[in-house]
Amino acid sequence: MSKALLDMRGLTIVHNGRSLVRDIDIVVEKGSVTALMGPSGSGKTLSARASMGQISPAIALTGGSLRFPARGDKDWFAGVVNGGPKVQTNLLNESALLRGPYVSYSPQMASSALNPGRTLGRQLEMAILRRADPTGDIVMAVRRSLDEVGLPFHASRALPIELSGGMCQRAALAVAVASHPQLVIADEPETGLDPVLTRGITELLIAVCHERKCGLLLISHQDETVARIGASIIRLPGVEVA
Amino acid sequence: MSRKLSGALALLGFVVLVVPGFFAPEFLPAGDMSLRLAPPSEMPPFGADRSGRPLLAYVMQGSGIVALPSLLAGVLVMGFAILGGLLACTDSKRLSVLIQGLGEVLGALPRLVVVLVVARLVPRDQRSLVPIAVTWALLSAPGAMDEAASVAGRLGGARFVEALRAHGFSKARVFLYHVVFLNLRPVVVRQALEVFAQVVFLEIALSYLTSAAYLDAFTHADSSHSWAEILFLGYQSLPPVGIESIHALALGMGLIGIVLGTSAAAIWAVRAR
Amino acid sequence: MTTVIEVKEAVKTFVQRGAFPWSNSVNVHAVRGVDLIVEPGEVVALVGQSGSGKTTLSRMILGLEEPTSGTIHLGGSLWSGMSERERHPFRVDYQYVPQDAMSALDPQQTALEHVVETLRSLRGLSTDAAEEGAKEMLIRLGLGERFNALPREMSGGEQRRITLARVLSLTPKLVVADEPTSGLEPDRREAVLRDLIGNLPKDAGCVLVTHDMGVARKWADRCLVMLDGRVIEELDLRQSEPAHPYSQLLFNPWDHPVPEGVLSESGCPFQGDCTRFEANPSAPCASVLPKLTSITQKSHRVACHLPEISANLSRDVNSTEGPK
Repeated sequence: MSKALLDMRGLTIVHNGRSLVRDIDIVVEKGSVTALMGPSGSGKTLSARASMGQISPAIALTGGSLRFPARGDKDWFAGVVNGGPKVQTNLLNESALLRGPYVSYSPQMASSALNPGRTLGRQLEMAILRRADPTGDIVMAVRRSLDEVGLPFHASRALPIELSGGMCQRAALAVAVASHPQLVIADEPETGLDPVLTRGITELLIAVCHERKCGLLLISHQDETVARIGASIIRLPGVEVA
Repeated sequence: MSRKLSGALALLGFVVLVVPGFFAPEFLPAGDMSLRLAPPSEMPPFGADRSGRPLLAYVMQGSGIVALPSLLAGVLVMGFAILGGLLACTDSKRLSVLIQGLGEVLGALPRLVVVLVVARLVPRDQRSLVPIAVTWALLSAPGAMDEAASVAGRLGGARFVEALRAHGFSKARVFLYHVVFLNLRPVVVRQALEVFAQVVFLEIALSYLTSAAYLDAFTHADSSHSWAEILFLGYQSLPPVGIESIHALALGMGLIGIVLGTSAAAIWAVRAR
Repeated sequence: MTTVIEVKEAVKTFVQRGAFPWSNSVNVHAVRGVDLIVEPGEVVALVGQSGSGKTTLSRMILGLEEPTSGTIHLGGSLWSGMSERERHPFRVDYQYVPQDAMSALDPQQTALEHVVETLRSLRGLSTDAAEEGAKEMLIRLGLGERFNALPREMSGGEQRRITLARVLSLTPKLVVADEPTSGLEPDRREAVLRDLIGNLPKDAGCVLVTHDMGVARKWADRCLVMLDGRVIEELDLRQSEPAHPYSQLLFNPWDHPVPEGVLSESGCPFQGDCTRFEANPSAPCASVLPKLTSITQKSHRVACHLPEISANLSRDVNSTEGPK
């Protein structure tokens, strides 16, 4: 049995005396799909970002452990829990090495994930250079990443604004997986898309992750999508809004 | 500080800056050597210069030279900024490209050199601050238009206008009330007051340089005297000259303070929510 | 009773010009001939993928775009072709809820001021009456505690509610809402739609543009499915199920193969991805553009040579949670 890619236990984050998330466990196995669901404001994005060590120093981590068993036994939260903003900034800097080669995050709106001033090709190149073993011809690598998401090679010369919504979403996916991460975190890839495109992008996401044998943590709102792709589900309890 | 209070202060400031100019004597009164470098007292209220002439006359003549032209510059810039903001709310790409190009050209000019050239070109018997103020306003206009346009852009530009027009609001209400009055007001007024203060200081700087070098002034006839001369007299109270004119320094600094305070109060009064 | 909207053969072609005066221009056919009638008290949903022309059609209805050809009547009188000056007095009755709530709100006005100004300047009420009406409407939409909040201090849902309060306080005869729930968290969408449709004045028509099929199913009396600038199916979702293969894909994307998304220029635009045409290659799909024709019920019209008439037509009408 291979080791889990991500093992986060008991995540608790507090801001101004109010807990934003309390006692959240997220485990992602190799080659599996885990869906993170819950009402808005339940801390889905927060938990997902915390699982790659990205916790803003403005909010306080007050409990939990974060391990990447496939990569070693280190508990990334050790010494950080209740450590204050300074230690959390250190965590933010140290874990930056993970983001890209080991875990990659694709944020909610595809357009916001892409740099509007750079061509898609340049953005892919930058992601490819973040790979754990950046070897081989970079142009070929760009071509392959575009192929993987079904975009033509000439799209590498396009700026994000020149792509349609669906293509943008594919491009963002290509950038997210171009660094060959073992774990992909996709934050509501369906936001702003119509149902047909939603299905297309979700299936593409699953297919790419399956191909690469990497784990996928999918934040989603849609019960049907999650049911169709057969993901194991982690439900976050809704926080009562005062 | 509330809007009303700061608005009232700003109004008071403008009155203090502008009104004395209308009552300024054409020539300084004859000096009374017994009042040489007299400190402020009942008579003269602001003290006197080295020939015993009252500094009050300097203040009034200076305000006559500086107040209206610099206000004019401010109003000009305000107009340009409003125009820039309104243009950003229309869909005309070509026009905005044209204006941007023009702005780049004007922005590339070295402002102070242009101002000095203009100052030299004005015939000697028509010297005044107006040409310099207008030049300065024109050179500052592109920046002000740009800033107003970016505020209008953040508002939504043409989409904002379209949405309000679709509700049924009249053009005048959308453009004048929503765009100009509610949203462009803070930035437009700030731009105008910045230029107002800049022109005042430009005048003071130019006159100071000419009077320190004993040259003819650029901005006013030789018979009148600018605030710069009060400052020059005040400067001489500092070591190593050290004549007893510290009251002139205080007066000059006070005038500068009024200009800055008035601008700040006006900006505060019209700030955005 | 006169119809609220009557659109006849509306066509909109955008001319896309190149960067230079001498570069070639391209014609983009956004809407290619649409008929639409909205009766008083009816909520009609326009659904389709992005780029299907639904937003353009909704903008044409309000005169934010001029149709290239065809006519639009609002409230029985001709609306298309009027100048903006002639239209202006009627605009109050035909309201628009734009896709992006923030672009319609003035960042310097509070929630209350938005609605008060609307009532004062568009309905000519006195300040006191306008304030009273505005407060009532805001309370009705659950903004009773947020009178003095500025748009930037509000959540997306609250911003959306100000635009709704402004529109609904005018008691319009028609509300056209372009993706009124876009950008909102899914579990907040429901409430916004309930506020909009539940508070529509009696006899007002409503056009709801959306790509959220759940919204169309739940809130619309009638649903028009658009593809490539044409209406390909018109149905009441409480009585019938989609019969056009494209509508079926749109409503149940997981039960059908993923489409290539290539639309054909001649014949049926969907022929490339249609499994029924694949199974019946002799059908005229490749050559003849199908016209909207009634099947089973008069209200259910499909533009398809091979419509699939579903078996479960007799869904219990009463069990669906409609707004009325």
